[in-house]
Order: sequence, then C-alpha cells, then structure tokens
Amino acid sequence: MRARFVSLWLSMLACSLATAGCVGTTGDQVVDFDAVASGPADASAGQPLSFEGSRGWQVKLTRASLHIGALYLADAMPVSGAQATSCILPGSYVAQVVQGRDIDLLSSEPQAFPTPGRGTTLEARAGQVWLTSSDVNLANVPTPPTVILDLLGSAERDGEMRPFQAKLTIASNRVNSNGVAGGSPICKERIVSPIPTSIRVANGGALWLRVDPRLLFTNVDFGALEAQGDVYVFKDDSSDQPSANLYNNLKQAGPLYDFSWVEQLP
Amino acid sequence: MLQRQLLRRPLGALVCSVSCSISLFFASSSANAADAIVPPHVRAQTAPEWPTNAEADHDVDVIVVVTVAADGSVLDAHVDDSAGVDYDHAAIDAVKHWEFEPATRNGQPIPARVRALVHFAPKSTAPEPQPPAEPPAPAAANAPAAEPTVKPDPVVPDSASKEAAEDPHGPTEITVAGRARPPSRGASDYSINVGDLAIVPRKNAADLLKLAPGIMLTNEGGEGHAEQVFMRGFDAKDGQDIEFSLGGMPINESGNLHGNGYSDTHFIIPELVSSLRVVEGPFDPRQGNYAVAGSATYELGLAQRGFTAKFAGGSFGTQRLLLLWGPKGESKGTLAGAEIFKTDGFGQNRDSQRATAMGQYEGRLGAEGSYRVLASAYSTHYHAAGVIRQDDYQNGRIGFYDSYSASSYAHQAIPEGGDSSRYSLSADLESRAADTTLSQQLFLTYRSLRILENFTGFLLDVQEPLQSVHTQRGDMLDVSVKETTIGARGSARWHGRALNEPQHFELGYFARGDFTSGLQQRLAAATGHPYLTETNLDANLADIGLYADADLKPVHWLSVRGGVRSDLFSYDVTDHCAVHDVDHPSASNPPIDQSCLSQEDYGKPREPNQHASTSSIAVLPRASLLFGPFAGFTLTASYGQGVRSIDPNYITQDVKTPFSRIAAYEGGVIYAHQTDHLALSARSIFFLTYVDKDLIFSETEGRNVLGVGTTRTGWSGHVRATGSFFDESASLTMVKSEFNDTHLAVAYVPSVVFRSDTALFQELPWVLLGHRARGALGLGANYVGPRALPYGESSNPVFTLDASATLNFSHFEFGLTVSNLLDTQYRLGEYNFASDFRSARSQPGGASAQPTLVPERTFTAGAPRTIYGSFAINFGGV
Repeated sequence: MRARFVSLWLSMLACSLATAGCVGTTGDQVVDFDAVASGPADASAGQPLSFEGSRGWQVKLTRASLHIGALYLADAMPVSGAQATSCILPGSYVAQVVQGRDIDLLSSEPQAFPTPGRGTTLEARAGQVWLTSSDVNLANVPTPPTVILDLLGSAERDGEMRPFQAKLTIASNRVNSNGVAGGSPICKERIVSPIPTSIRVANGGALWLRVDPRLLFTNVDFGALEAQGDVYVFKDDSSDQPSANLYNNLKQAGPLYDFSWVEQLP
Repeated sequence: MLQRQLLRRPLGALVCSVSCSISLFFASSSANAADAIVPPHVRAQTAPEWPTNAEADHDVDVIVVVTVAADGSVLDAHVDDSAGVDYDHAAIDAVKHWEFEPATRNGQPIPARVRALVHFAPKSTAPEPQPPAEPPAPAAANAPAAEPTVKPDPVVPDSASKEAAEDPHGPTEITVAGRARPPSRGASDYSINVGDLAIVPRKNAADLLKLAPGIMLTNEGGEGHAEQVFMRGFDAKDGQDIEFSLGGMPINESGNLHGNGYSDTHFIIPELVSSLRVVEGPFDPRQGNYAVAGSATYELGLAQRGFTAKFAGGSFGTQRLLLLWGPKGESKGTLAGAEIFKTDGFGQNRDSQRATAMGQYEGRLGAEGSYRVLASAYSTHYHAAGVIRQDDYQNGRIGFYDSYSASSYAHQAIPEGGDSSRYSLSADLESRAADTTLSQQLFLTYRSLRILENFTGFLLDVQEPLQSVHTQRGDMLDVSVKETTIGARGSARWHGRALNEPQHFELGYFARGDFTSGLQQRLAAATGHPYLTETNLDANLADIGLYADADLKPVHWLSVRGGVRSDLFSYDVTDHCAVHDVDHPSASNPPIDQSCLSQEDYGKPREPNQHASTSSIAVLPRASLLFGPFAGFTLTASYGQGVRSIDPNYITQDVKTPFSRIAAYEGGVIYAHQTDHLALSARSIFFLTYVDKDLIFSETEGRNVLGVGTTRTGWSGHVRATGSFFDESASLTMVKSEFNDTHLAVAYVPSVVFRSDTALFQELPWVLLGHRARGALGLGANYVGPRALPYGESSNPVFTLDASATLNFSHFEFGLTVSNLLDTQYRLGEYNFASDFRSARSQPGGASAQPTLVPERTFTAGAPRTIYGSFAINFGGV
C-alpha cells in the first residue's frame, strides 16, 4: 500500500506540467460511427425477392421500402411482468442515429443514414427502430402522414395470382384509446422496441440494421384481401386480417429487425 | 524583550511607557508567520501632575493597566500597583490623555491591554524633556517564527519574557484582547487574514475561499445560486461537503431539497470579511456535520472606521452601491454594511438584483470577556442561462453566451433562475473565569429558496401507457425550500500548566434543529404550469454533538491535539408524495396523470404520504501531531473522521446510518519566518481521504445522489509572503479522485488547481487635496487543469487573470477592476450527459430530426472580460 501511495504521488509530481495527460478516466468513451441499413443478406439490389409465405402463398416482392426515422440502442432491457412499458427504454441510451431515411429492403447493400451515429462504448442490450418522420408523440403530424411501409408484389397459390400493394402509415389511424387515457399512445405504435441485441459501438465502425421483409408476411393470408381494380390492397387501418397482421408484424421487435456491428463497411 | 522609553517633560515628571513581552491571552492557532503581534506604543504623553498635598522630593512609581482601543485611544485605565490614592489618581488622569499607536495583529489594529509605569521624579532631578524614542521593536520579531505556542495565563511570564523579569520595575506584559482562536490542526489548517489581498478582484464572499489551496468555484445556476465548490478532490457541489459558518453561525442548510447541506454565502458582504479559517480535512473536534472535505469559517471585521459609501458600475449594466460603517472607537468587529446590486448579465437570461444588510456589534464584558450580536438580511431575484450543448454551439445553433430559455425552439414560459432570501440573528459571548474560557452562542435563521433549472431540455417527459396523450412538456425543475434553523453551541476551555508547558482541555457542544419543507415539481415549457410533482417533503431534523478536545505539550517541541466528537442525527420526515407509480395499477381506477398515487399494486388503496423517522450516532475521533518549530519548520501529521448527513428523501424507517462517513489522513510541513520587513510562510501537504458513500451529480434529478465509496490522494503546497509594500499568496494542488470499486476517476473534479493572489501597495509621490496619495494594485491568477468527465472525456483547462487598481487620497478612493483581463472564452462548468433541447429541429431541413438520447458534452459559459469603475468616500475614518 505504501508503494502504491508513493508511486501515485511521484506520478502526480511528474505530471505537474503535463496536466492533460494526468486526468484519470471515468471509463467508457463517447464515439462516432457510421450507420447503415439494408434488406437481408441474400437480397440483390434491383432484383425481386421471391419466397414462400404463409398459407401456401408464393410471394414475389418487386418493391419494399421502409422509412426509418431513427435508431437507438440502450444498455438495459425492460423488466418483464411489470406494467406496460413506456416508449423510452429504462437505463441509459448508448447509441443513436437521429436522422432518418427510406431503406430499400430488396437490397443487401448498406444504405447510409444522412448523419453519423453517436454513442458510448457501454454494451447495448436493447435496440429501437423509430418508424416516424416527425415528432414521435404527435399523431396528426405530418399532414399528409408519411408512408412508412411501401410494398408492391404478387402472391400466387394454386394457380391464382394476386398482385398486391401496401402503403402503411402510422398516424391518427393507429390511435386506439381502448377507453383508457393514453391506452395505446402513438409513440408505442411508432417505436419498435425492445429489440434484443448485444453490441458495443466504437469509433470508426458501423452499426448495421438489417430488415427482412419476408417476415412481414407471417400469418398473412392474401386470400382475405379485397381487390381494388386489378390490385389487392392492404388497408391502412388494419380493418381486415391480412392488413392487421402485416401491420402487427411491422411493429414486432422480433427477428424482422437485426442489429449488428461491423468494424468496416464492405 | 524588555523595552523602555523615557519621555521627559518640563515639569520634571518622568513617565515610563510600555515595557513589554508578548504573552498571548488565548490559544493561537496559526503557524502563519503573518500572524505577528505588535504591541501598542505611546505616540504622545501627558505628564502627571504631582498631587498638591504631596512633597515632590522622592521618586514614585505607579503601575497602571491601560486598555488601548484599536484606534489608539485609551478605553480604560486602572492601577495595578498603587503608590497611594493621590498618586494613583494623578497617574490615572495622566494616562487617560495619552495617545497610542494601537497594537496590531498581521498589520490590523486590535485592542490591547498594556501595563505602563508612571514614574514621578522629583523636580530637582528631572532631566530636560527628550522626544519620544523610536517605538520598540516588536517582541514577536524575536519570538520563534513558527507557530505561536499557547500562553495560558496572561499574568504569568512565559519563557520569552525572561528579559522582562529583569526589569527593576517588575515584569510587564501585554494582553491582547480578542476572541480565542482554536489551535492549529496541522498543515491543512489555514487561518487566512484577508488584509491587503482584499484588493484582488472578488465577486463574492465565496471567492475568498480561493486564498486556501485547491479551491475551484463554478456556478451553473446564476447569481443567486450557491457556488459549486471543489476542494482538494471533492466536488462539494453547492457546499454539501464543506461545513460553512459565519462567526460560528452555521450556513449549511440541512434538509434543503436541492441538496442537503446547500450553502449560499451570497448574503455575506465580502468587504466585511476580515479573515477566514479553512481547514481542509476533518481534523478538529469542533468540526461537525458536512466537514467532509473540510470547513470554512468566516469572521467579520472592518478595519477602516467611519462611514464609507462606494459606488461601482461597468460592464453589462452592472451597478453596486455599498455602504459601510465602522464606528470610531469601537473594535473592528463592530460594523454594519448594506449593499444593493443589479446587473443585466453578460449574456442571455443572466440578469439579477440583490440587496443585503448586515450588522454586528462587539462589546466588552467586564475585564476579560466580550460579546457579539450579528444580524443579517438578504434577498435576491435572478435568472440563469443554464447549460449549452457543445454540438449546438459548434453547429451555430446557439451562441456561447446564449440561453436555451431565450430560444424559439426551447423557449420556457418561466425561464431558469430563482429567488433567495435569508434572515439570521446570532448572539455569542466569551468570558474568562480564572483559568477557564467560556463561550456560548445562540443562532436563528430563516431561509427561503426557489430554484428553476433545466439541465436536460425536453428529454424526460416520456409518454407512459396509461397517461393522457401528451408531447414532451419539458424538464424544467421548480424547487422550493423553506427552512427555519435554531441552535446553540458552547464550550469551556481550561488553561493550565504541566511539565513546564501550557496544557489545555476543552469540552463543547453543538445543537441545531431544522424545520424544513421542500417541493420539487416539473413545469410545462409552454405555460409554466406544474404537470408533475416529484418530491413533497416536510422534515424535522436534529443534530446534537458533543466533543472533547485536548491540546497537550509533553515537551516544548511537540504538540498533541485532538479528541473525539459524537453527533446524534435524527430525522422525522413526512413524504407527501411517496408513491409515484405501481407495477400493476388498478384496471378500474388507473392513476392516469396523478403524480402522487393513492394506491398500491392491483389498486389496493393507501394514503399518498409516508412518514419515516430514524436517528443514529456517529463517533468521530480526530488527532494531530505538531513537531517543532525547528529553525522555522514544523512537521505535522493528522487523522480524522468526518460525517455528512444524507438527504431526507433517502430516509426510510429506522435506517441505521443516515450519513456518509469519511476518514482522512495527512502529513505535512510548515515553514514560517519573519523579519522586520518580511513575513513568510510555506506549507507542503500530502493527503489521503476515504468516503464510504459519495454524492454523485445527477442531471435528471438536478442534484447530487448517493453513490459508492471514493478515495482521494494528493499533494498541496501554499506560500504567503507579506512585506511593507506587497502581499502574495500562491498555491498549487494536485489530486487523484477515484471510485473504490472500479478505480475509475470521479467526474468533474479538477486534478490540478493553481491560484495566485498578489497585492502591491505604496504611497505615491503625489499630494492631492493636501494628502499624500496611496496606490494599490491587485492581481488574481487562476489555473484549473482538465477535469475528468463521464464517458472517458476531459474538459478544457481554464486560465484566467483578474486585476484591479485603486488610488486613495484624503477621504476618496478611485478604483478600476477588470475580471478576465485576457477576455478568455472559457467554460466554467463542463458536463457529459443526455439532453434534448430540440435545437436540431430548428434548422432548415431539420424538422425530421429525432431526440438526442445519448450523452453529449454540455457546458456553462464563464464570464468574458468585465470592467468596473468605482468611487468611494469615507467620513470619520482613522
């Protein structure tokens, strides 16, 4: 113990003129990093994405665009079993990307967000994807509401071909009071959370969000869609089963969204 | 050293003036060589008249004890060695017309008592009168130049007065009247006489703390907010780790919701502060609650007597009117002052106004006692600029001296700032009975405080599932505190001798009761209406302490000082908003928007309040060893335990230890040397401090919150040199502060602090209005090294220079003060935490920007160059 004290004091004497180097560290670090998003790894830019959906439908996506308003990572997952969680995660936020963009989900190429991300080197345990283009708490803004999910494609089963289209918004059409004040606030509709993850951001690397559009069609029965002319349209108010399931899949903090960290972008 | 001065008068009566050796009346604490005492000496005498019914045919001597006031006049004279009633009366009549140069301590006049010999010589033998001899050299100059030792009995000559014993007229001595000073606790015990360093620019009384080493002050809350004090590795926040007092009256506010122990010294007029004692460490049994980093005791005194009016004005619409009064003939502790101040502030939202009045009377209580009554009143209303995000400043979204409160995107209906008022009354007396010094003090304080501050912008008001739909309403904290404090302290100090050395023993007590109420709410930015109650507390607190302190000298080169203190802390807390949320709210009666819930899980009803009470005792040993002086050097070693009571909001029923405890160790060396022209003192100290539960700043709660244990290790050096035309004080402190569990640095604490205060003063070769002019220059230099910030960052170093100049002649004084002489743009406080002031959305194309939730560098701006001119006039002064 004496040797430790002596060395401490000697080091302080030596640092009397070089003060900048003698400030101890509080741990962790504030970092800047690139932020990108894309479709699944097996997608090809400019090519349709074909896959087997639910109920025997063969789906071919020719357009899939998702508007992401912001990305956040936090150091703690909410405690299960408690009251419904708030829009903001508990603990501290450790990474953010606060300017959004539209992401082509049919491309596996990284699509960069307009501004770099910023965060700390604390380990992130939970992520959030904010599906909004304005104040996350204002249901009536903007006007008209931003199209969050834009899909175009076709589904085929037993020789029946159904071209489909979906343009989903998350605005006043999603507010559901359930007779209770605040029952389902609009921020709960717009924020996909909590997405399990385990990431430490760092200087010079990149946060990569992959969104697999195939998982949007889990339990979606194209046979229940109504036709508008030649196209079967998903409704923007979840008034039918396939529209409701599509929207619910969009909000699920499940495998649809996957955060990862890369030291260097390809 | 025996001195004799003969003054011969035509009537043939010889009068002998002062023969003296210094014998201190009280235990003097400081080893500062500037603590020199110069006895009074006669400036003009009146020869005694021979009694009409006495034959003038033989020499007659009458010993008279004369009490000399601080202005040199004779307050009292009585015969100590009679030569008969007629000679006694004649001697008294003569002495009462004498004029003295008053005694001084560190250059400041003080009342003193001196034994004088009045000699009646027969006419036939009377020599021709001669002009008075030069004043005797101060006995202190020949005394050991290290720490003055305790002289318990003023009538018992000490070892320095051997020559006095050879005086054929018998030993004479000076008794210096004044308040007993506590004995020094080692190298970290600084008894600081402001003296000529008062000319160095200081904004307020807290700035005087910088005369002690290792002190850094910041303020994120505005002119009326207490300073955040950093002392030797401690972030004492708004005073929670330093025991502040004024003349023994506590300043720390127990139960203050903004921070338990909050200390606002703005009610003290800095021109009325004559000295302060700063003990950096809990080494004195007199130190009580909050003496974790140490303690600071202010003493009032006004050297310049008469009535002084001073007006200062300058940059940023600043104006200050100051009135001071020191009645002539009274001690310097008798004073009054009043101040009115206003400023527009050096940037947005920094205006303030305040008024202060304080008065103190110090009177004699018999021959060996004194009493003092102090009253003060203070009130201020102010605004504060708050913090600035670094990214907003770098991107041009806000200016360095701007405020979010004044912006369009983060505008607050009620801007940051506050109101503060304080009214206090204190009375104390000190007397001596035989070999015991007794003291007793009563104090009463009423305090009202409101603080509005917003560190995080629009971050915390998130939408909860069961709440009414709302946007972010803003994080403005509105804290209101009202507090009444009543208390007392007292002590009995016995002075004795053993082993041929003075020995002392003291028993004392301290008691205070605090009756507080606190309310903390969040205000909506758009309307200023409260939308959330975070805390609503009433607390009755008690702190009763007893201590025993010994000051022993086994041999003349060794002093052993210390003892033990025990404090009982009791809490009686009513939380009127005890339940804020439940995991499983009632489905049929959900809380919705209530702040203070009347239900538990699953809707089980309960009252929203909760009562908790507890008490606990802390036993705090303290000890110091002082070896020396040896050729001016004194080695010291000290150990002490300190305590800080915790905030009432952390109290639960019967919690065992409602306080944080610290243990402090230090070793140091003091050097003191004095000549006729120079008083020099220097110190070097190594220190180590452990805290079991430290306070860590939380920006979301707007105050410190309990954290884990920490350790501080460091070195501090201090030099003070005082001469006939200069006074210099300089210090350097280096410290490492870290958490005990992770050994990571404690954030915000400066690792290096350097401070220099310089005063130059001299008579000028000009005569103005028939009076010789006197000039003075003051320079204050401050360097603070980089400070560790959260998340591995560090702040920028800060270097500032302040300067002032004054010209005195006749009754007038002209002054010029420049703060931040180099106009450095510096960051007074730097932080690293999450906040969102919506600034990015205010920019073109920024409407879609989402909130910032991760930590970002924020800071408060230091003041730019500020220039004040002043004019003062004094009437009826010395």
